[in-house]
Amino acid sequence: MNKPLEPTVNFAKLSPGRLAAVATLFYAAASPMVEALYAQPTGSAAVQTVQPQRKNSSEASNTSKLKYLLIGAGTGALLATAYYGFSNGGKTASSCGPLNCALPYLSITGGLIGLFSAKDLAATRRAEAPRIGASLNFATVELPLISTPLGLAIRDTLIAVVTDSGAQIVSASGKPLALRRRGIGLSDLRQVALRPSGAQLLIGTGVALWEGSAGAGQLSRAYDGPIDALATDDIGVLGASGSTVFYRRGEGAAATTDSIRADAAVTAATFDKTSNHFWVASDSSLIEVDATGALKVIRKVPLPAKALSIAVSTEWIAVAMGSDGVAAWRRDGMSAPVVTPVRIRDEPRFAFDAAFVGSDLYVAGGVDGLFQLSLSPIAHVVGSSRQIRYATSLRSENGVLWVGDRGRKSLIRVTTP
Amino acid sequence: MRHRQFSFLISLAALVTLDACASVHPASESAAQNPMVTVALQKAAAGDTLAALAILDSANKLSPRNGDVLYWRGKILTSTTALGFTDIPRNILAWHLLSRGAEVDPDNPRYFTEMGRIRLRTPLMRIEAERLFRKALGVAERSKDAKQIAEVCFELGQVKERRFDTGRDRYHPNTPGIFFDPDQATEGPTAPTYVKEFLSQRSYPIEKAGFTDRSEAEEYYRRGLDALPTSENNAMGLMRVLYYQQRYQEMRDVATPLLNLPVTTARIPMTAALAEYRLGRLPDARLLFEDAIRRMPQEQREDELGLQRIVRVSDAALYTSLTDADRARTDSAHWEGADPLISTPENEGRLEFLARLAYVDMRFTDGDMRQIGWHTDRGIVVIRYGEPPVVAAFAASGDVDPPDNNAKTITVWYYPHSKLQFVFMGPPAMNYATFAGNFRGYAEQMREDAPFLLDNIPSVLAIDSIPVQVARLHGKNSSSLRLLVAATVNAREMYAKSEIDQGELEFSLRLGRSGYLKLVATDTQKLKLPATTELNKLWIKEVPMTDVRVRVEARDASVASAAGRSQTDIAAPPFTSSSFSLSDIVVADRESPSPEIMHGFEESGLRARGSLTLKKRETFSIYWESYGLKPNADGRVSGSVRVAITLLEIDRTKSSQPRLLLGALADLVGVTRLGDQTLGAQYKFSEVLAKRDRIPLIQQFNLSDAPSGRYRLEVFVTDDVTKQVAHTERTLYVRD
Repeated sequence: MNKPLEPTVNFAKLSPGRLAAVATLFYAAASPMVEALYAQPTGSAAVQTVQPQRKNSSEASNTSKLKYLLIGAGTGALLATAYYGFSNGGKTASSCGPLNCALPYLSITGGLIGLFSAKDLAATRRAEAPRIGASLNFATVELPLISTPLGLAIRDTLIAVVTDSGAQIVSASGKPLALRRRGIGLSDLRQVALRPSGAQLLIGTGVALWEGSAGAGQLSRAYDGPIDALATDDIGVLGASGSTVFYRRGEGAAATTDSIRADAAVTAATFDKTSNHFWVASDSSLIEVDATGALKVIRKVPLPAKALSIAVSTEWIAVAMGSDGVAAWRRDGMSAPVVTPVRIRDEPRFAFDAAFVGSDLYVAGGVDGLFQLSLSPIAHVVGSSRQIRYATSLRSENGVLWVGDRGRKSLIRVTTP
Repeated sequence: MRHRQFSFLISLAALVTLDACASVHPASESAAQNPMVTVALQKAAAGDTLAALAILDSANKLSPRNGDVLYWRGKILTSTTALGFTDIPRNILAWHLLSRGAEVDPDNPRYFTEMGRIRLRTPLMRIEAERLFRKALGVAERSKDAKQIAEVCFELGQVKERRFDTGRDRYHPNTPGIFFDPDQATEGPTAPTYVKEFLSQRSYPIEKAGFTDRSEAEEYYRRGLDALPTSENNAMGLMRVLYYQQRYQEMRDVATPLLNLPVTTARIPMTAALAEYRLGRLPDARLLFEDAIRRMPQEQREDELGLQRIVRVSDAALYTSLTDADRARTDSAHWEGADPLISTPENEGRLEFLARLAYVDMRFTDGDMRQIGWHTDRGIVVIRYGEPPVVAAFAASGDVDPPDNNAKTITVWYYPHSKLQFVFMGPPAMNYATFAGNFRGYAEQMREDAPFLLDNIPSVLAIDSIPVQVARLHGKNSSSLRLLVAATVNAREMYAKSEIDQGELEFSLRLGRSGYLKLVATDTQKLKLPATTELNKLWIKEVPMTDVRVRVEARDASVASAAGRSQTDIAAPPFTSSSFSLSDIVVADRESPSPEIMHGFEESGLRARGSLTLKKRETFSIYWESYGLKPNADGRVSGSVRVAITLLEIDRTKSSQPRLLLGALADLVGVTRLGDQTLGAQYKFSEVLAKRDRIPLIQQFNLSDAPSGRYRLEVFVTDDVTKQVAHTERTLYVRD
């Protein structure tokens, strides 16, 4: 005689232990769902505040949860049905019958697994997605380095990456190659620069500026004092030691050095090909310096915060200011009596370095990856890529970005769109 | 135990005081606080929770719908419970009171927050706790209560962070059925290599484990700080999460707004200093550590900064019994010795110690678990040996004995450099773990062997890298001592790996009592590189006739490997102006002939060696001074000299195992020259005193085919007039 089908769980046939387990799991899993359904504005607020561009993420997440719950429950039900078949309609089943025990048990368990998987997937997706802008995916080529990259310099076909174990010289080709290691043994390495004359390498440390060939041979002490910023033009090298800005023309014993004082300790420097001047930044101001004759200050612009690096394009001057984001000035508006920069504060959360490719500003955003910013007509974040695990240094040359990744201890060549 | 009770009472009192001041919700601000609640809170703040609860019980009977009464009764009840099942009845009552409070005061999130905390303390109810906190966050945001938003965000951040903490550094065994057994890491022949082998061969790390939870924790902490920028809890939580990812610059920026607030505790500057330390900005780190120490209560300062945890057990007992002044002197001497190079601007050893304290406080201090970071097992290991370079966590396993270890996460710490290994066990997601298996005993044993290691600081490699010879000579008068300090610096080795053409080696000599060294000489020597020779330095300094510490350092700030130091503690010699005595022996090389009448080492034509290790068949000279020789009637002093050399230990480090065994047997039966005293020289001398207070004597030696090993070189001088014998000695080494 066939057993009558029991559409509901026969709890009387479940052991107390199983019952308790099912009840606990169900309660634990169902509570967030119930809460999500009844308290939608509260539950999603956390996401909305920090992810303004994903307004429907909660809704999507709930759909996904339901989908996975149903898939899990369906899989459980299928397993129970298979069990029903294998147990000859339940006749050869154990004390747990296929319909009154296995079906509810497996369906609930499957549903719960599905629900938890959905929650986990949604959380991972949420954590990996950019908080603002699109998720970008660049073509990259990675070159492992000897140690953690601290700074980069590019000149023609060479890249010098300063690390805490010396400078790595790399070929700036489509497939970058590690050529050699220089400056071995130096302590407290901070800055690096390359000069075109004979591929001269300059390394700034916490003690002195060292110069020598990027190819081989010993390095010589070129300037005494901790080097806080370094930039080169075709003739010489501009460096900063505390608030002293110096410009060194020539090499070796024949070199001459000129210096001026900035209003505060200098933190960054770069050469601007468009104006043929240098820009140096301190805690409080951005200074344009002319080194073509005697070193002189052309203009000073107040900075909203301490600059970590300066980037220039034909149209813009931009500074990366760590937690204070990015500020940029239009070149043609800088001579006005009051100059207000364009600011992007919230993203990336920490701007380590910046570089222009065309009119787009790229920012090394640490663990948040590489950011693409558009400065006009309205400054905004275009998107970001987490392909770089911990982006801290950035240079551009011929439309290609070179990024120092502290997370992987590597140099990454990024082809921009 | 007393510490736990103490910290609990402090935290309860602080919680009650602070919360009572600040948790008045905007909606109920107009309503005056029930006077019985005020009295109850005063009782609770004084530590009398029973009286406080009794008063609140009465108040509850009088005003059953008073939110304040319901809240405080519930809160004090929950504050006196611990994690587990034992306090469930108390928690049920508290839950009931807080639920009622939430009904009568629906716009106040504090009830849900407290209910969430109850659930956090109930096993298996963490998801429910999270739900309640989110509910509280919703209410707090609707009512725009910044303090409550910050508080709930901190709780949610902690839930996520602890989950991350459980998932991070996760390893998985390669083969099913294999599990990490802590006992095998301390017992049996494979114990020394068990951890290393298990991690490298029998398990693999799981990539990105805990990433999602860490990310969510960061968001919650940031949200709490956005709502209330002065929220120390959220700042600490955020800095912790950033530290895990080595985001030190961001960490430092998080601390900045809080550093100028007078209410900020020592934890914020301490953690900010840790960030500066990791960024390599040591002067800034020191300033922040000093700021943090100033903010610490005296009791905490003594407990946290004292040396008792980083010395052997017997020394710790002695240390804690010292007076404040003696303890300060001991601290000073200890940290002076621990500083790898005094010539650098900062004391790297002490900064490392402070950084470790900052780390254990940031990482293991936990109000919910009522634990203080530097009192925990993990904290103590970090303070002694630094942050573990290798960390592996294994999921809870039912296969580990004893049964009460079931369902506990196993955390393995491995220090490749020192080969130290520690294993901890603790419940998942609780920030609590204690030594597993026999590791408490292992840790105690390690403490006796090496109570404090600084091998994670690169500059520590400089320690004991400069051979130095110190000799005590008579001073100008009976209360002073002439100290001859000779150092040999191997510049070739120091600059071997550097690619520069010129070095600037700065030498310094410091003398003084331990803990109070003073710079007495410094000079910088420019070197053309690559260096080909060894550099010898000699200082002869007059110092008071007391025990003295001698510290020699050499350093080129530009080159990481160009650093060396030597530190020697010298006891005051038993010189007296009248008695016949000898100075220490100075081992030297002949550079030029010496005059007939010498007044001191400077005229001897000798170059003192820093290293007392001689090459085989190397010729060397010894110099010493005799004091108190009685002149005869002609005004001459005379006597006889006997020099004896004894082989104390044969160096067989280059011998094969069988030869080692045979050598040891030969020593035992007296076949070798071990222990034999050889007469080095014997002669008579006679000199005109010529108003000298000392008679310098020189003897040249060559030990010929003497085997490699440790030797004692002794000089005996007999005064012809008084027939008194004086003796001095020096240990030498001979190497192939």
